[in-house]
Amino acid sequence: MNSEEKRIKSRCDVVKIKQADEFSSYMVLEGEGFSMKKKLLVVALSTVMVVSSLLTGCGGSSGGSSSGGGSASGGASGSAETTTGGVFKSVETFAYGSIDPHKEYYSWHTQKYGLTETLFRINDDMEIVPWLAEGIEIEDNVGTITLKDGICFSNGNPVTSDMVKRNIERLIEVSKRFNYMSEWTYETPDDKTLVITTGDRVYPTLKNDLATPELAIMDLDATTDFDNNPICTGPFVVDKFVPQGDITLKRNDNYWDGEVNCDGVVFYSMSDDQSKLMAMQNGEIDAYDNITTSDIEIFSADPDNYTLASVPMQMRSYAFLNSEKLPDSVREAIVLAIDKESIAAFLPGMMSATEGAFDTDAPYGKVQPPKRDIEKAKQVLEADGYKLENGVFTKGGQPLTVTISCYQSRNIDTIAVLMQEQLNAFGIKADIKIVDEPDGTYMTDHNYEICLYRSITDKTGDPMTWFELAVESISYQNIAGFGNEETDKLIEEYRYTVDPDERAELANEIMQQYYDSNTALFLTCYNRNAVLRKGASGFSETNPFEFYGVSAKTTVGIK
Amino acid sequence: MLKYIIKRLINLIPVLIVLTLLVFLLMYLTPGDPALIRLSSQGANVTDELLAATRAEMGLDQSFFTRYFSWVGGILHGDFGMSYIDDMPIFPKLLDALMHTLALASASTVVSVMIAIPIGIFTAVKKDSIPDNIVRIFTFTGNAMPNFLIALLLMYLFCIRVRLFPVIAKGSVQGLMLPALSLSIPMISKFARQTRADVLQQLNEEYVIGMHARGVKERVILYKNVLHNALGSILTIISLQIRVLIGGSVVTEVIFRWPGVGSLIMDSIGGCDYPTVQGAVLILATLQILVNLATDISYCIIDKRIELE
Repeated sequence: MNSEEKRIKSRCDVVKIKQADEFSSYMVLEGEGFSMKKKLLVVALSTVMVVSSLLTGCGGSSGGSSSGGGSASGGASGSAETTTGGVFKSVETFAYGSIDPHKEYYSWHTQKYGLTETLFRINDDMEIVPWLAEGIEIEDNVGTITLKDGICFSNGNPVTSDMVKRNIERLIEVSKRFNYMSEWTYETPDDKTLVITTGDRVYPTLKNDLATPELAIMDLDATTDFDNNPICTGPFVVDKFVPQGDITLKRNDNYWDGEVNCDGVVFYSMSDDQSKLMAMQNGEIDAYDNITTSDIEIFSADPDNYTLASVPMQMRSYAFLNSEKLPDSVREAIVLAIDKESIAAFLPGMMSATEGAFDTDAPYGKVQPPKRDIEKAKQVLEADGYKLENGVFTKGGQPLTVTISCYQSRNIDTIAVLMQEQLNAFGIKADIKIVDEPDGTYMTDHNYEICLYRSITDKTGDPMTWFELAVESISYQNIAGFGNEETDKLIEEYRYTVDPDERAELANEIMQQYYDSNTALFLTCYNRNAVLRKGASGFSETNPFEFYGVSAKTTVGIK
Repeated sequence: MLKYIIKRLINLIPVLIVLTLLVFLLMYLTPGDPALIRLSSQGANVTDELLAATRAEMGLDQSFFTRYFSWVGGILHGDFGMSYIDDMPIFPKLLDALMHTLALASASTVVSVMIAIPIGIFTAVKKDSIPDNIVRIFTFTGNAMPNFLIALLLMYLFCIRVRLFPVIAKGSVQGLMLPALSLSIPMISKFARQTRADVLQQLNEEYVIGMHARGVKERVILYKNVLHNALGSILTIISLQIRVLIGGSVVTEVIFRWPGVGSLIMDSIGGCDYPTVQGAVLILATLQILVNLATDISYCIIDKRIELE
C-alpha cells in the first residue's frame, strides 16, 4: 500500500460490520406474499380509506413515483435481484421546491442524484480533478479551460464553451454569493475553449471555484422548466420531481461518459430517522447517509446485509467567544478547558475531535490552536484575579458565569450540554440558551457570550472560502470581534498570491492571528456516515462531501 | 336555515379582517431580518448595499400598512406571495399541503367514528361487564400514549413484523392508512369514552324507563332515541378533534412522510419563511371558523329544538 492509498484509507474508514444480532435479524425480508387474512385486512382497510378519500375529494398522489427497474418493488415483497440494472433508492432529509441547480443550494442535491455535473470536481482526497473539463491552464489573471471531447447533455446536444459561459452568467444572476464572478470577463475563442480573465489580478483558486456544485452546466436553450426538469449532463435525467417530495430519475441514454449501470434512481423525501431506519431494514432503500449513532450500532451488528462507511467531512462544529462580553482571560481559559475528545466520544461515529478549522495534513492547516491544558487555564484566570472558591471561580465575590447559546441541529445542542458540564466541572458556571434558529438570532444580532455554530470550513480544498466566510472583518461569521485591518491585508495578499508555499505560509499566519484571539473554538469534525445494502455501491460514500452521490457506476443492493 | 348560514358567513368578514391583521402583525413583530436571514442562508457576504437591495426586492423597506394591504390584495387574487426559502409561489404549496391534511383528518375521523361509537354504545349497555372493563383499559392506554409512539409502533408492527405495508408508501390511499390509523387510536379512545358516558346518561333518563314500560324494542330505544339525544355532545368532541387535526399533526406527518400543513408550517418556521407561515395560519384559522359554523348547523339538524336565531 503506497502512501497515497494509506492516506485515503485513513480518511475513509470503511467499517466492516460484525455479526447479526437478534434485533436486526427479523428485519431481513423473508416471505413472498400475503396470507388470505392479510389480504382481507388490506381490502377492508383500503375500502375505508378509499371512501374517506373520495369523501374529501382528495385523490391526488402523494409523490408516488414510478420505478423503472427490477428492484422497484415495495418493501412488502422481496425477491432476489442482481446488482446490474434496477433502480437505486435512497432518502433525502430536506424537502425543497425546486431542482434548479443555480438557485440556493439545490445543486448539492441534484449533483448527489447524478443529475448535474461541473467542470471540475473534488475527489476523495480533496484534490480538484477535471470532470466536464479536460483541464485548465492558468497564467496570471487568465484561466483557459478546455472542455472534454464528446460531452453532451442528456438530450444529445453538445456542451459548448458558449453554453458554459452562459451558465456562469446565469449563476451570477440567480445566486448572490457568486456576485464576485461578475467582475470577470469570459471569452469563447472556439466551441471547446473558455477563457476567463479574473479582473486585473491573478485568482489562484479559480479551479476550486469551478468545482463548486452550483456551477452545474445545463442546456439553457432546451430546458423549459428549470425548477422541475433541468436538462443537464449527469448519468440520470429527471423522470418525475414532486416539489417538497420525492424525485425519480431514469438512465441518461446519451450519457457522455460510458454506460450507466442503473435503470434509475429514486430519492424519497424523509426527515424522520426512525422511518429511514425501518425503510432500510425493510429493504425499501439501498443506501442513505447521515445515519444516527444508534442506527450505526444496529447496522454494524448485521455485517451480512449492510456495509457502513464513515469518512470525516469538512463540516465542523465550533463556538464563538464574544470578545465584547467575555474578557481575554476568560476566553483563553475556556479554550484551554474544553475537552473535545470527550465531546466526540459521547457521539461515537458521528464526529471526531478537531484541532482547528482545517485538517492538520493540509499545507494551510499547520498552525493549530493550543491543546487542552486545565492547569494553564486555571493559571490564566488566577492571573486575572479570579479565585477558585467552592469549585467556582469568583472575582470580587461574583461567580464567573457564562451563557452558551445554541440550536437543535446535528447534535449542536448536545455539544452545548457537554460543554456546559465541562465548564461547570472546571469552575465556570455555564447556562444554556436554546434558540430556534441561529441566523435570525445570535448570528445576526451578536447578542451572546458563547454561541455554537456549524458549517463547512474547507469547501474547495483552499482556506479562502473560510477567510471570506469567517475571518475577514466584513464576513458573515465574524461575530466575535476578531476582524482587524492587519488580517484583512493578509487575506487580500493571500487572495492574489500564486506560489503554493507562499500561500500556505500566509494562510497559517492568518489562522495564527485568528486562533490567538481566542474568539473561536473549533470542537468537532462531522463524519459522513453512510449505510449501504449488500451489493449496493457507488454512493460516493468515501467522499468527504455530501454533495456527491450516485454515478454511472452505482449498483443497487441485493435483496 | 339558509338565512342563518348567510348571516353567519357575512359575520365572518370582519372576523377575517381582524384575523389577517393579527397574523400579519405577529409575523411583522417576529424578531430577525428576513433579508439578512435569506442572504446568510445563501452564503453571501452581506454588505449594507446588498442588504438594502435585498430588503427592497422583498418589499421589506415599505411601511407596515403598505405591506399589509399588498399582502391582503394578493390573497384576494389567489396570490399568497413567494416563499423566502425557495422563491416559489406559496399558494400551490399551501393547497397541496391542505389537501393532504384534509384527507388525513377526514380518514382518521371516519375510522374513529365508525369504530368508537359502536364500542361506546356497547360498553354503555354492558356497563361494568368484562368487555366494558377491557375496553376501558384500551381507551385509557390509547389516550395516554403519545402520538409518535403510536406511529412508530404501528410502523414497526405493520411494516416490519407483519409486512402488510411498505414503510415508504407510494399511493395516496396506501400512504393514508397507517397515519390515519395512528391518529385514530387516541381519537377512538376519546370518542368511545364520551359516547359511553353520554349513552349511560341518556339510559338513566325517565323517557327511557317510560319507553321500556311501553314495551318499545330495545334497539329502537337505543338507536332512535338514546343515541340521537346523545349525539350533541359526541358531535362537540368530534368537531374539537377535527379542529385539532386540521391544524396538522406534525409528528405523524413527519414519521409517515405525509406532506400536510403541520410539516409545512414547521419547515417554514425553521426557515423564517414568514409569508408561508402567514398564509398557512390564515387558511387554517379560516377553516377553524368554518368547522365551527358547520358544527353549529349540524346541532340544528340533529335537534330541531335548538333555536338558531
